Amino acid sequence: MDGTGGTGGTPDRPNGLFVTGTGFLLPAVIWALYFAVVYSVQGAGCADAVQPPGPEGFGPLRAVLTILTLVALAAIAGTGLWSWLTWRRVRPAAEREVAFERSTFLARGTLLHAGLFFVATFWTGLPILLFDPCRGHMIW
Amino acid sequence: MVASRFIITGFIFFLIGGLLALLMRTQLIVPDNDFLTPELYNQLFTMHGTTMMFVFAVPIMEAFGAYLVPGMMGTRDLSFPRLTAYGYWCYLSGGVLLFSSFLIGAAPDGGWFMYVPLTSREFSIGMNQDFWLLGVTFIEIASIASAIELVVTILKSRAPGMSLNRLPIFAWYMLAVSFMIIFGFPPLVLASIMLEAQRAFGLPFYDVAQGGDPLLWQHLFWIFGHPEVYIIFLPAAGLASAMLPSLARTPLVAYPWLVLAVVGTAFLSFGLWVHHMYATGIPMLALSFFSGASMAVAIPSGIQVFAWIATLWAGRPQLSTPLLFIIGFIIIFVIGGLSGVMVAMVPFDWQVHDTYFVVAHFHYVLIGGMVFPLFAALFFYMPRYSGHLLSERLGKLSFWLLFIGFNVVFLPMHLTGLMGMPRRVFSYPADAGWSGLNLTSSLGTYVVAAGILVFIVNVLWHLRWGKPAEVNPWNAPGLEWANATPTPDFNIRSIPEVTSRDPLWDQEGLLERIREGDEYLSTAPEGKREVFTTSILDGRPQHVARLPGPTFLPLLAALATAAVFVGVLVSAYAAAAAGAAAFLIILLVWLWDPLPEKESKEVGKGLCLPIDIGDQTSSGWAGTIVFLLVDAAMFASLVYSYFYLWTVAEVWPPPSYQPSLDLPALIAAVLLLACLAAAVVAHYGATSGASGVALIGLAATVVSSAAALGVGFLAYLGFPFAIDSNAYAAVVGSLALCLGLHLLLALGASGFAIARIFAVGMTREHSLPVRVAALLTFYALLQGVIVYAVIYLSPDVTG
Repeated sequence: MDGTGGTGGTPDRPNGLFVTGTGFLLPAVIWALYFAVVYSVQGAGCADAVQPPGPEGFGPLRAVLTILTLVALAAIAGTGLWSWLTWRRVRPAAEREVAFERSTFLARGTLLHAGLFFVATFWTGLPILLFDPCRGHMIW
Repeated sequence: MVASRFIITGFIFFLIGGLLALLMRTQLIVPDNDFLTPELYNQLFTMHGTTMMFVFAVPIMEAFGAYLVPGMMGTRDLSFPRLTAYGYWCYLSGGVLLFSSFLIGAAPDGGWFMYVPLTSREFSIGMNQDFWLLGVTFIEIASIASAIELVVTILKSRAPGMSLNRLPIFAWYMLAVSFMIIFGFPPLVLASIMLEAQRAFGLPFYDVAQGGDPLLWQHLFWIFGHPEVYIIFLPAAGLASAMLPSLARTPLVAYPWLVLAVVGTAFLSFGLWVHHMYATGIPMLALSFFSGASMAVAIPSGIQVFAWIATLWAGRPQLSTPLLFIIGFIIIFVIGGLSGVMVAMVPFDWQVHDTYFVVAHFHYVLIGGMVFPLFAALFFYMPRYSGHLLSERLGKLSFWLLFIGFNVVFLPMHLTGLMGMPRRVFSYPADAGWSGLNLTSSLGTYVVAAGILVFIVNVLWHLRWGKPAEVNPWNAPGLEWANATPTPDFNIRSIPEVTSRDPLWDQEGLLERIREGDEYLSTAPEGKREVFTTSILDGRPQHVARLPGPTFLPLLAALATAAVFVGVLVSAYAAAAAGAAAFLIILLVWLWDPLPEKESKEVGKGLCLPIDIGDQTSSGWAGTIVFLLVDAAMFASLVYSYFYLWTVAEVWPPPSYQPSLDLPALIAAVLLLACLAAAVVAHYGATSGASGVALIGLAATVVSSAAALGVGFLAYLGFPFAIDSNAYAAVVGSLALCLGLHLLLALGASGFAIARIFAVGMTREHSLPVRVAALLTFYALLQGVIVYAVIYLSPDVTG
């Protein structure tokens, strides 16, 4: 990425991750990693080769999956908050100049992404509270 | 030129696929019909699905990308025109290979999803499935090639000032779709290679008796298969988004929200694949992850629909034929989307799985979501191709025939499915209660066929009698209309400075300035095809890139590739090897580009830029990185296969199968570290402009990678198993083979870079071959670390 790779920046020329394409994709990447990890952990935790005949209820596997979900939600909320702060910093200087317009667009886009992927993560993780990880039935 | 050829070929395959559907519906028009034999019916539904998904929908949408994106972004062509041509010839050859199976009565008949074990050698002895596996993989090369160049062109070759927030909305859609292809297609390519290896050489990846698992195929297929639906839908939605401002005569509403929706859909679509596998016995919690993601993807789809409606609401739309097709698209797609949310729910899906309800759902999504916008685009953009407008009267007739016919075919199918009729049956008994619904659906098919026939008549009519189109006949805001129609091959007379998302509406006099050559790169005194290479974020011009002229190399390369595929198909492996060797020789000639005759040139408006820079800002560098992403997706799929098989195995690895970290393996590891050091030296030489240092690093890379290959082969020979004895052995052997191939690639690239330095020299600005060789070496070494960890560490970790 060019132009805004640093972490500093001034109100006249905002800089940092959330005005770049990398920052723009961050909430989505966190969701993708979260999704891959919880699916893998669930699969590995319930594999025939490793699954012990453990107790039902809130066992260690569900605890790990729940913690992973909370971490992902916190990380996405964090990117949203940070991009919102970046957006506010960019906005007062918004004039018709390429870097400013682009910075505003990407910071705002990151915020929107954070909202979408927060919902997606919450929605994906909700069943962890409802189902036994390996046996499949509802536990409430 | 190539892009329009792509579109025409894709449309011909659409007609062929439609003809197959017509035959199927004729068979089902009455119960107990014997119009088709069951065997032929199986071939027809397999080839119908395969044609529509692989040979029509994806290629034609990518072709629209190749046709429109350069014009929309104010550039003259895609960044790698020869790759476009190679992709086209691969696509055409793959399609011909696939359909040639009918000539020997061996068309694929295992369904478009090719599930094992039905398609394993045990249950499919003939060449039917081999045609599918090789033909589809051949076509996928074309799709991946198009995706690579679309990504590079969109990120690296735009009009000056076209920052990401000013990117045409269709370019955002194509960028997202291209990345989806880059990550989504390799799993299927790998799965197909693995199935062909099982069929041809007995490597038992999917064979339960030898530690494999048929569900591995389903996972790899649907990791590709569900994003595929969005890969088809999103470009069409992008075309609708691109056309709506002209048709509604107002700027697109909620552009940032649409970008959010596109990128969001691209990511979420990779978390949906198991919703095609709800009935396979996967634990309920895992199903719920995918159910949740399947419902979440409705959010970005809803955002797009509301943005389109809002644009129509805010504007002053005229009910022209393209707009009719877009309105039809929105209506049908919303119905299909809602039934999609229904089948995303596990209990409901279990009731309708493999019934005609699902057939109705995905045709609403795919025909509504892709074919209707495609027809809108064909009407809208036809003047760019032919210079004439299509007949509105015939256009509206074809729309109503298609819209009514489509709903007559597919609306009753929801009921047919709910009443229990399964998919893929060649007939049904008279007392099943499905006769009336099937008759209605079949009659509707003929109405659809009539609509397409009217469209074809319209196209043929307009070529001779159509009203001549003026410049920008739709008063569109985008740069793709900044020229006379038909649009010349060079796309744009001069490349403008862009200050708006709708430049032809917001920048007064721009169209005239472009056409009179008052903008950038308006002349070509050196007789070269020149465009800008620009920065990714802000579209800042970095240098002038020179595009190659017409050549037979892509055709020859595609023929060599065809020799490989046909050779494998008919078990003539010597011919396949000869094809691969020929391909490599052609590739070397292809890559041997001359250096520019001067360092820089005036590009207009007092701006002077360097020519054809070969460093990390160049399109070639970006293309290499994107190619490695494709490769990484395939490698990741192989590693996934290893761990997936582990989760379903009772003992992993099988007793006495675990390789030991013996002396050859240790020496090979040390040699890989030597490769790393050598590549670092070569890269340093390139970035500092020291050709001597680069030569030393490259030579050391060649020597150490060759030694690592030799010693690594000894380590492979020391594995305590035969590669075809068990699924574990097959995957581990494949991982080792993969590492070997990548070391070979790094070795070849280093040798090529050495030859370039001796022949034409090297400076910091013209050091791309050295940088690419170092990058490929770094990448091979990264794979080496993972392969070593998987083979030698993970069995210990798993116990």
